[in-house]
Amino acid sequence: MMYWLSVLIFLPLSGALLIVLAWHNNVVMARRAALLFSAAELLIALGLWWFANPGSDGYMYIVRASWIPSMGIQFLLGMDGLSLLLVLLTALLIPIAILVSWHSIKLHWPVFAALLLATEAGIMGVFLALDLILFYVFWELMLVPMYFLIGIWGHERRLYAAYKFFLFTLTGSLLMLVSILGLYFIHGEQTGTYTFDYFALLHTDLPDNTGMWLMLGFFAAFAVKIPVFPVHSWLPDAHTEAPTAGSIILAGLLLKTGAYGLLRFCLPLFPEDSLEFAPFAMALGVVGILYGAFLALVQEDLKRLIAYSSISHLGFVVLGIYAWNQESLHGAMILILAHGITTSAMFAIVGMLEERSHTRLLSRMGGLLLPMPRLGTMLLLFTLSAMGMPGLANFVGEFLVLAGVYQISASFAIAGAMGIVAGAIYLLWMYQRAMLGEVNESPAWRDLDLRELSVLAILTILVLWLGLYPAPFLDYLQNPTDTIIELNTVVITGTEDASH
Amino acid sequence: MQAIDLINLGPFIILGLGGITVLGLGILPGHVSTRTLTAVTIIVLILGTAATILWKVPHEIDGILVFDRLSRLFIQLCMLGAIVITVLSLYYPPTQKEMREEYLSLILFTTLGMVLFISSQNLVMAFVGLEILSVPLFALIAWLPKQKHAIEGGIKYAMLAGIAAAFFLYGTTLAYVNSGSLNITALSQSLSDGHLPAIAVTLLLVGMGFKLALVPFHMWSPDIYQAAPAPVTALFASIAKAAVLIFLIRLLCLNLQPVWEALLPLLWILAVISMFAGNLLALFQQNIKRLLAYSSIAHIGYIFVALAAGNSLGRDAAIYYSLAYALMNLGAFAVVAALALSDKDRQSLEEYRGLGRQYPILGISMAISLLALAGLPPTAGFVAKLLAFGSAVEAGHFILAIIAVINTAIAFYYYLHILIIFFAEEKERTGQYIVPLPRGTLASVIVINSLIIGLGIFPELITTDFP
Repeated sequence: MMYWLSVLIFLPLSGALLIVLAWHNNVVMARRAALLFSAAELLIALGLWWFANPGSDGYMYIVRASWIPSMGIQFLLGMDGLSLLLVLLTALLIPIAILVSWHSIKLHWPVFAALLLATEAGIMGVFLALDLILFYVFWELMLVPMYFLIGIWGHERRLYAAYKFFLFTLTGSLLMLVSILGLYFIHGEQTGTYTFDYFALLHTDLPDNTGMWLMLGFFAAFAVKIPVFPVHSWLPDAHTEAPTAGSIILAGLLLKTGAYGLLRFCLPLFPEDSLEFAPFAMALGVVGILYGAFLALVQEDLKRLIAYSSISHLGFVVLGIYAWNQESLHGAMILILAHGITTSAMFAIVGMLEERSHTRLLSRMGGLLLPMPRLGTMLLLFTLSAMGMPGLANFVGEFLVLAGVYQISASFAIAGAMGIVAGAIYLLWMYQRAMLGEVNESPAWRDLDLRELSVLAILTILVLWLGLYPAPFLDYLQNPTDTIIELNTVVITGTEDASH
Repeated sequence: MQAIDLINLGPFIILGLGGITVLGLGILPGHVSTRTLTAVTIIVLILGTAATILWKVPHEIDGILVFDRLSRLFIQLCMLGAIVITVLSLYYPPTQKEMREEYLSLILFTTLGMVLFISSQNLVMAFVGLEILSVPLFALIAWLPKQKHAIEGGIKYAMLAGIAAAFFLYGTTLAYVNSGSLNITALSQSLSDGHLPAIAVTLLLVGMGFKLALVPFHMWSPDIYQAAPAPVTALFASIAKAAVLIFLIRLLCLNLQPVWEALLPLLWILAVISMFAGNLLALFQQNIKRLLAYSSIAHIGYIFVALAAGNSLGRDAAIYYSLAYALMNLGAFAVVAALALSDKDRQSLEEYRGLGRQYPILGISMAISLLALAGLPPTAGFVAKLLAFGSAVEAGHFILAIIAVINTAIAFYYYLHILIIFFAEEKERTGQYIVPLPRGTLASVIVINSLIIGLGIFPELITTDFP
């Protein structure tokens, strides 16, 4: 049963190879094969969900094989509730990205499909790896295909965006590499066993300042990916210039790897230093929420607007993670999922609009609800979800985060709530300018066809499910949350003991 | 002299005799085709590689040559590299008519120089190896005298090799003055307290620094990289440098540990300036061969990051990095050689626009080699950087590690730039039709890149050979 975790990583990788080797001239077959591989991946992920049986430490599946024993590097994969949900999200969004690109990608479909599947393998690896070097390998591995997806199939300024994306994320992750190595040697010197095993490194006793520096190395990598306020500037460009499938993967999955990294590595490995750092991180989160929201207010380009709204929403996630209590952590994790689904759907809709009108500019839209009622309705649903409308996905997350943050600091909670208000303004305004009012230009608008409709229908079901009945998801998140909260209490009681 | 010595000397004898045989074939009456000559050369190299397998390790011959697993590994690397370079030269359009027995025997002789240098245990033996390595290169660099700067490049290399040899000899003399021996093992046992050993080794380091294009002895490298035909560039940019690095590591890390420790601050500084100079000069370079020359300088800097750590991990990192470095540069220059025009190399990056799409195998190979140079997993380049940065962190050189990391990030910019040009849309079809590539070239490119990935995923295949 356990080896299915490695299948999750190697299936898309072999799919990518197969497509490049066998069907590099056959667009139709390449498309079908890509869809087939990603669907198989989804089935495996669902199967893992079905048979999941959490152990005492919360891990349902662990795969452990030796890789480079002389340096203590293992092939160590593990899946707990948090990984499970993110793996499901990944497995779901990749076939959706493939379906969305069905007709819109004109060039080199086989290569495109191979790169998408390679990205999927990398992201799966990131969500599953529990050996720090293995994690780093996957962390880098998902960058390269993404770089080419943006750089080759993107819009006008694709090269600039691809460079910026790559260099920002790379600098962050290299700093993380130094931190990983530092942690490795400190742990090795203390215990005599040199290993990159996550479970072994969890209880490393770090000297005063070193811990903070190492933590900052990890935080740098994750902050760039999330992105947190001062290092966010790659995101609007990358999102805007990427092809629709690229935007879906970026917003739906890549940003989540940053938040996942904070939850999986940053807090558990460095609890004391993270606690010390929490106020700053929360402040950065709040700045991100407001900054993203205000910039979204003035965007003309639909994709850019959604990109800035992503910065704002991910600000909530950071806020929730560092508020570090039951509600806020649950909220952050639910918001990760909800944002993944909602934003992917919005990017998909923008992509569909762009396919029809070749523009993303709000000023050139208007009154589109009339010719395209189905598209208009769908967009309304996801816009409302992104606004945090009760009953839809994002609301649960944002509400829980704010409820959790309020216990720590009322002012942060109020500032966060302001972000929701601003969100309502820019999203409604966007909807009004695009869909209502006079019809500006009228190319022959077609409404959604069956393929597009079914993609959006799947996402709709999920948005409603997360919004109306999040309990099954919360159950899976209970164990990871408990583990992280435990760390917090240990730190606090620990310091109290020391002060007595 | 015992039978076992003879067996261990096998590779050297085979290479030497092979070189003479190839030359001799040229004076035979009747025309011997270039293909036959190449086949003989390759057979000699394969026999030489096979002979290393018969070695009894570890073994020494009178304190002159040492046969251990390290030298075996790197001799095999040099032989493999020489085979690849011979194949590339055979199909390299500009040398098509110029490649005869002289060229091939020079390749065999320079390879002989490398393997002697790798396994030398004695400073004079090392000097002999270094000279056998360098002298054929003067001729090979200027092999196409009608090309721009070719003669200039050859003479430049000859002069710098002379200066390097002078430094090397001066260091050798001082080492002899210090301990009364030229054997590097004996040297380590009779180190005096003063500064003399450190000065002697520093001079040797300067001599080798010229060969490695270590800043501040790097001025020659971009010009000569550009002037030489691509297969020759591949030769001295990859395996020749690996040979020099291995002797440096053998001298400094395996035998003269006290001197190594004394020189750590110097190595630290050399690492920093080499990394910054190499990467910053490469950043806006538009000529691919010059760019790779500058990037090589930066890579020597990363190797010195490992050497500056002064611990056993640093030594292993430097050895692994040398091997990975040779493979990655070989891979990159192999693609440059394979894509050469009929009379000269493509120099400017713009001339490569869209070629990755026209020749997918070469495009993917270039991507693998460059991403390995950039240090992305799962390539050998990543493991090399992991070990190098790891050794720096273990030694407590956090600042050096962070400088190296920043440099790695800078380097990504220009490697990606090359790749994007490789895979970009062509502006207009310039009427070039796609020439099918010779199988030999493709095979050698594929072998090199499989090694880059294979050693990146399973580094233990070779780390077991490290001392």
